[in-house]
Amino acid sequence: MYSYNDFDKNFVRQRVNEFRGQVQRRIDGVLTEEEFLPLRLQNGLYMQIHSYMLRVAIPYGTLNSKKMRQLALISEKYDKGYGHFTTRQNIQYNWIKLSEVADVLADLAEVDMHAIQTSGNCIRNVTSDHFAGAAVDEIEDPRPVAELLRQWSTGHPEYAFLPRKFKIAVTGSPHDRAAIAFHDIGLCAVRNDDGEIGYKIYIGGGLGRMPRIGRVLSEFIPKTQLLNYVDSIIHVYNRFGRRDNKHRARIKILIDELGLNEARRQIYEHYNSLKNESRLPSTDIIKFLMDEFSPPDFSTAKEHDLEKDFIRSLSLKNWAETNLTSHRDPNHVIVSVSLKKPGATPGDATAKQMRVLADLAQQYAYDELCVSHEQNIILPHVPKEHVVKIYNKLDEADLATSNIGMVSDIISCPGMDYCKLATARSIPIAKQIATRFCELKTERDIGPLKIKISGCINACGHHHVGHIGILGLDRRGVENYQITLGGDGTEDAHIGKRTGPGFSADKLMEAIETIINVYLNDRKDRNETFLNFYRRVGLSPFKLAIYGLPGTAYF
Amino acid sequence: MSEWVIITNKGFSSDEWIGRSVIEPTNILSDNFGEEQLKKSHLKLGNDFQVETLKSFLPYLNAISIEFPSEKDGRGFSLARRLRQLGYLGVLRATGHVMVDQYRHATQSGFNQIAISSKLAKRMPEPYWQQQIDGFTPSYQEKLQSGSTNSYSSKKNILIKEAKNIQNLNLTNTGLVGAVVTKVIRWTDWSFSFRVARPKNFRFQSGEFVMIGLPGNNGKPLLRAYSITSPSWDDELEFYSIIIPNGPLTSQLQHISMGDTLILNPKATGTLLLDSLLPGKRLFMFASGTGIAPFISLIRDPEIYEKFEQIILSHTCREVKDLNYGKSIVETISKDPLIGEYADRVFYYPTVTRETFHTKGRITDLLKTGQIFQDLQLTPISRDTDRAMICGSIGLNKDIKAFLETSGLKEGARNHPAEFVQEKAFVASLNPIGLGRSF
Ligand SMILES: Cc1cc2nc3c(=O)[nH]c(=O)nc-3n(C[C@H](O)[C@H](O)[C@H](O)COP(=O)(O)OP(=O)(O)OC[C@H]3O[C@@H](n4cnc5c(N)ncnc54)[C@H](O)[C@@H]3O)c2cc1C
Ligand code: SF4
Repeated sequence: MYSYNDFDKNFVRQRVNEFRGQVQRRIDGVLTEEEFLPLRLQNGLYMQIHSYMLRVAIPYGTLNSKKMRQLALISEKYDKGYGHFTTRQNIQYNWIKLSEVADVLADLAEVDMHAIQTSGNCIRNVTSDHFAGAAVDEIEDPRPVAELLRQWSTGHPEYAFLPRKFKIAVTGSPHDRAAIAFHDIGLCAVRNDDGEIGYKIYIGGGLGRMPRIGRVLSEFIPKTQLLNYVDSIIHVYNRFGRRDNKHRARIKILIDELGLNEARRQIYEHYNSLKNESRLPSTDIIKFLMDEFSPPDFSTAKEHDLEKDFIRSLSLKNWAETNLTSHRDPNHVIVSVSLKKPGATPGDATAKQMRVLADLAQQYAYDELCVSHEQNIILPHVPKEHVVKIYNKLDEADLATSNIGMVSDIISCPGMDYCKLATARSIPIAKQIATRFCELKTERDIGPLKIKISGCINACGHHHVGHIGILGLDRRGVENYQITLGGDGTEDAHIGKRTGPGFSADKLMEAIETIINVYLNDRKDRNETFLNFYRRVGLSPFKLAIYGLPGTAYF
Repeated sequence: MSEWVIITNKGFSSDEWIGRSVIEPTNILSDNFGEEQLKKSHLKLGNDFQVETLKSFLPYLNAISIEFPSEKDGRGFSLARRLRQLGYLGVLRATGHVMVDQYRHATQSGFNQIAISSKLAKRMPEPYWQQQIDGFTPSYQEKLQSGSTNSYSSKKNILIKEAKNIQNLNLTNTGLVGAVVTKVIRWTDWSFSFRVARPKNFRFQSGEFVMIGLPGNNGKPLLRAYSITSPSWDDELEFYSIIIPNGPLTSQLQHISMGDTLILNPKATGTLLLDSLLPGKRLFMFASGTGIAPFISLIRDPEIYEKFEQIILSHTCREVKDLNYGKSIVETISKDPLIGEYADRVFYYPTVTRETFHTKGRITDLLKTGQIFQDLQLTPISRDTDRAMICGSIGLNKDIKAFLETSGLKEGARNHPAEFVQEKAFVASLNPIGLGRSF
């Protein structure tokens, strides 16, 4: 895991002081509210409905116990004793006082954390695969590259005032868990014909109002040119991206307008000049970062047969079925801890729960944790012999929900409960759906199914890539929910298709149940997942079921 | 107070460009402005201008401003960076709505000045800017660019400084000239290379050194001997420098960046010349540390391949990464249109003393044991066919000289060619031969 050196520590401390200075300048009237806004946002501070919200960066989601404990402490000192883990692998505190922000930042700096560039029109916190370093199919651990990009993008003088926000995601596995095709830039580790590892580059993906699947800009960029390459893309974007219309300002629109070929030409014009000047990063730096992320010594873990544990406890077996994933070392597993207990707010964890997770990581799991973009917490390296102990401790802390990848493992944005932009509630909808399928006890039968909910067209809940996506809108003062089907955020990227007219809040549950019943009734067998079923039969059987025959008014 | 307040690293000042004639970018592309006219103008750029089109005018311009229409619009930062990258060395000004909190972004992107309206200056008075000027923010980008994993240059606000020109240094009648830095690459914690524009009429032979430096604390030039690493035909001069933590010159020199002006005494000299050697078949070059510098010039000069059939370049350093500068240049030979065809005649022989490496040890030992000849599959050194050059620490020079002399080679000099020549890569105690003192 990357540990801060003097440079990083110094940088973060300087930024805390800088922010104190900015608040002072605002108070002194040197900065107007308008001028203060981008500065405040670049320090992760949002104004929400009821109070300020502080979004803290967790680069590529990776944490250790010390950091997790500090996050717990902060939630108690400055917030209401819980935090909200987000779809960008960050944590948000929803009840922060402006006067205390600098203190929070100082507390974060103590454990080498910060809130820099978690919002605003700049390069945002870099995200990655939550199974990084543990995944069976990994070509290489993507985090050295993610860390490289974090360093390079942090405080970048040229790119702090972009047309719009800019998101980068990196994966090291062919099976994409980081939704790289839905980022402004997505990087995916690949091997070239010489066996050398480099990165395939996707550009212009994104959700929001105009969802786009990223397109391949290059099949292979060597690591020693990655920064020059990313730099060239953002340079072109900063100069030519639209600034006249906020909704057309993302790079995806620039690519649409220029066409991929012209965009590529402009980017390469710049890239070629940079490439001739220097290799960026240097091989020294690459090596240094790869060493920083060298895996723990897995050889100390004993062989252990989990099946024997399962025989003794059915609930453990049940949990293991959904929440354990094979690890690249045979004596380890990856444990996913669900923050989606039906009826609770997706992604929320109390200070107490955070401490339990910290303890488990420290005692049993090489002191490593990762926040997933699906708003769960991962223990990436768990020796099989410790699984039972971990499960029992999780259970005591109300963290043993066994639903990873299931109907009730819902991603939801904050929606009307917190967000100023929301046009509808989303958390209550998520709670309702999860609770409903829990009561019906059909979750296991339904199998893998991703439901994602956004409270407005900005799509923070990633509804476009939900197998079932729900978008809450406002229709003449009444909440109205549109449903999309067939979205997929993985390497098989698809944007979900709208079923048709939306549903009122009280009709929505029925529609979702109907959709799932269509699947349950008509699937070939249990091996045909919801997504595969949808791909086979298309939208029409679902439409027929939820809207009735054409001409029959549903409402 | 005039309409504009100018902010540099010295704080507020008034606009010195008032007398300059303003030109619009579209005119510069169509009208045939003379060189003199360009020098006296102020080119005003909107922040959507395609600055790449200006490339051929940049050498003649020394006052360019870029407009900042709002605090949210960061296009100007990219334009500044691009202009610097395209080789613009003059003063660059950010004009308009620039916030005090954007001082860092402006200076690190390549601006020397910020111009804000006197109205804005009233709201953002000088002390607030001064805080930014004094507050040094280390930047990740510089750190990565330098190739270092944990250090950064501790110099304050490297980029914003008065774009010094030669007149400011007042070199008239000193025989010295200014040379503008065009590129700096940090190789290790203790070494970097840099390129400067070649002063007009400056001539030298590959392998020679010159005196270069910076203004010293007493205002007088502080100069040191430096071998030129670029070949004699290059239109820029390249150098490879040590960093001595408390060294009078290099402790400062390590912070130079693109657009700075160095002082150069345009009289090159030295003994490591092809002309100081009698004709031969093979040329052995022995270097340690920065002593590789003159050889880096020679191997890029086609003349060496006319005079010798085989070139053996041995370079001894403490650690593997210390080899990188030399290695990277040797690697470019095969791609060089001028000398690429000779690449297979260069035998590069790096050795490292303090780390494991395929060739470990001092070159003198590798010579004595014959290891080097075995490794390169060459016959041992003989007076009939072989010539040699040495440039390294005093110890290296002494030992190799002794070795060559036992092989029968005699030392030559500039005016009487013989079988080998040597130059010390640096002077061990403080300047006993009077080189490298300020004067
Ligand atoms: C003919 C000649 C050519 C030279 N060419 C180069 C060159 O191409 N590149 C270069 O970096 N320097 C070169 N030097 C050395 C250079 O002149 C300066 O000594 C060096 O730049 C340090 O300057 P300073 O003022 O920082 O420290 P100084 O006060 O000059 O030196 C302090 C001490 O540092 C040590 N030292 C100085 N330079 C070196 C070095 N290069 N390697 C190892 N130890 C050193 C010496 O022990 C010296 O006494 C050359 C010197 C001579 C005489
Ligand atoms: S999708 Fe809309 S409602 Fe939900 S968090 Fe984003 S902006 Fe807010």
